[in-house]
Amino acid sequence: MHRPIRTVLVANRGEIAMRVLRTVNAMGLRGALVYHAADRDAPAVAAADLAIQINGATPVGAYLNVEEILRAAEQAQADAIHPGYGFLSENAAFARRVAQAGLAFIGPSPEAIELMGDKVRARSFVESRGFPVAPSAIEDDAPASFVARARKVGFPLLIKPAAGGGGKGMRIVREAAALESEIARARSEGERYFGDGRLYVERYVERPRHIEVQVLGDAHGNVVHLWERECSVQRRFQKIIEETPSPALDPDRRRQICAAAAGIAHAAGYRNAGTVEFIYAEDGSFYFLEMNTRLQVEHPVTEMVTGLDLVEQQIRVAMGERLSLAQGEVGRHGHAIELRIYAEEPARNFTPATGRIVRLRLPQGEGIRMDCGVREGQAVTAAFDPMLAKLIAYGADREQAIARVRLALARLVLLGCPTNASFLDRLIAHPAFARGEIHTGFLDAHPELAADSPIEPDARLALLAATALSHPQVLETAYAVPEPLASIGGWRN
Amino acid sequence: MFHLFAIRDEKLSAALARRGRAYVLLHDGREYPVALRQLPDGAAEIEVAGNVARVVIAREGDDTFVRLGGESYAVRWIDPLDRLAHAGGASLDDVALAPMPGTVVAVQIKPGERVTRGQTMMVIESMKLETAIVAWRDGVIETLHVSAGQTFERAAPLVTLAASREE
Repeated sequence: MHRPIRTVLVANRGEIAMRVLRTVNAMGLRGALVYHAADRDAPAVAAADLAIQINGATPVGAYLNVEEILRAAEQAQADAIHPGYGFLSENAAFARRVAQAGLAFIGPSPEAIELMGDKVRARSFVESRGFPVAPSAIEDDAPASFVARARKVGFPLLIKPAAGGGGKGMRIVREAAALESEIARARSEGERYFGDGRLYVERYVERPRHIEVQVLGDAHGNVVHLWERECSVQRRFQKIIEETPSPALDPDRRRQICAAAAGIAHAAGYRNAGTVEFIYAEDGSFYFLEMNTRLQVEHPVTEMVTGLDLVEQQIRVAMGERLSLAQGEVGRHGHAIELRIYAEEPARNFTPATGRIVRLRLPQGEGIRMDCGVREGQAVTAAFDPMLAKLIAYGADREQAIARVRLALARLVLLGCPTNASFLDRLIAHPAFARGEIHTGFLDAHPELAADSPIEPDARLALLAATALSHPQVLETAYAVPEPLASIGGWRN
Repeated sequence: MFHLFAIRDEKLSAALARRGRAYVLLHDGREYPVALRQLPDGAAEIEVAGNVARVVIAREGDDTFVRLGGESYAVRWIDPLDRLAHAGGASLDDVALAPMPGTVVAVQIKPGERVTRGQTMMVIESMKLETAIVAWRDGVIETLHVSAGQTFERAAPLVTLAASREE
């Protein structure tokens, strides 16, 4: 059944709103956008064919406000809603409301969102279909014995909220003594973030890699995988560098892990774009971590090596079209790497930073793509997630992709708000990264990478001189120095 | 006159002086001929004692942002009035400043209440993690600057304890 889509409402903000609008327009469709007043200067608001202001108790609350978004969809005469990532993208109730309003939800079915959104159910489902999962203990199975069973899983272990995702509320416990207090803390966080304090624990693999597989399904039962992405460089369970192909996989392992992902998606009757995440151990074993039922932040690296536009694929699936290619036709060429540019201070324990962007120059070049959600003059506030942009580079091989992304990073000018840009450069310049020897604990093992590089004496003088010569109050006070005194060089502060 | 600048956590004193039509920078007991030349592409060249470096400079209030050698720096000019204002005012030792931007999750104290060192005064949330703000000494709550649910920027005052008395 073909379902025409003429207007797509983007229910998101920042770089992903820009990204989705780009494809919507490229397909000849009309792109509408919702925005909170705090985002009125954002480039996506200017880029949309129609931008509708929405309200909420907080700026984030506006983008979670189902009634407001449905009202905007009606006003925009939208036929479909693209939820982006985060916010309502993995909210089954929202997907249902969208369908009830007669619109297409550009994403999976509410049932698939529910299944994969409940990490405990998802894990049982995957295990029951014969795919690998890690040793674990689930509180719901027998709440009274949860702590004892958690202890039996062995240390180190990872506590996760049953309703969680994105690293929220997750805690690593390395010794039995800390188990009960960490369970209490994780429960409190789970209750606050997800309204659900149920937990589970699983064995924590030391030096694990995070390897995920992009999948795509249609409404006719077809599922393909679009190869893997390695996202092992993380801080606080959040990815900061992603690449494809993974430097860890040989062709056999790649086939196995990609086939497992496609198999899981197929078993779940999965439709639209999704990502199956795995933990990959040093010995080559891997097990299911979770499935994200949305477009991922890091989807551009997959687009660069496959030549596919994932947002276009999503919209075509939502229109009821069949996948345009079979598994054997999914190509893969070269290497792509993505760096996430955050408004944050790595040297201050990665705390989010704020400020008005007073100068912004985006790099261009062969194989360079920049997905940017901010523009010059815009204020970065604490109201939203601190990710500002993504820098993506394609190369014939990994070495070239890394060289290109470093060059582009050096050409990026973003002044007025601290970012992690120079930290990212230190990270990708690290010999272990060049060798592909990375794991999710890499940053914990290399805390020195987060520290600011020391300011050399020449740089300090250049900074003082540049500041003094461009600062009106300082220029005003410049006074004439008598030649003899100055030539002695005897100034003392 | 000498000005005070802050780069990261470092405070630096420097003065700018004119020598004919050129400038010199006075810093740390020495002087350096300096010049700034705008380039057509929006960048600039900064020259210090003959060393030339390419920079991008942008200003906002008291901050000068400089892109130099692949790094971005913020150089803050510290207003002489601010320096004086702090001299006789409340000591920063009496105020808990937000270590990072975030949201107040819960407040467990009221103004006028006596707290003991180590007592949790409030819980804040930032970057998805809860952090307890604990009393760093015994004292009495003088001002509660935030309430539950409120968001704040880094370095925003959260709680002020009454100035400690010598007992």
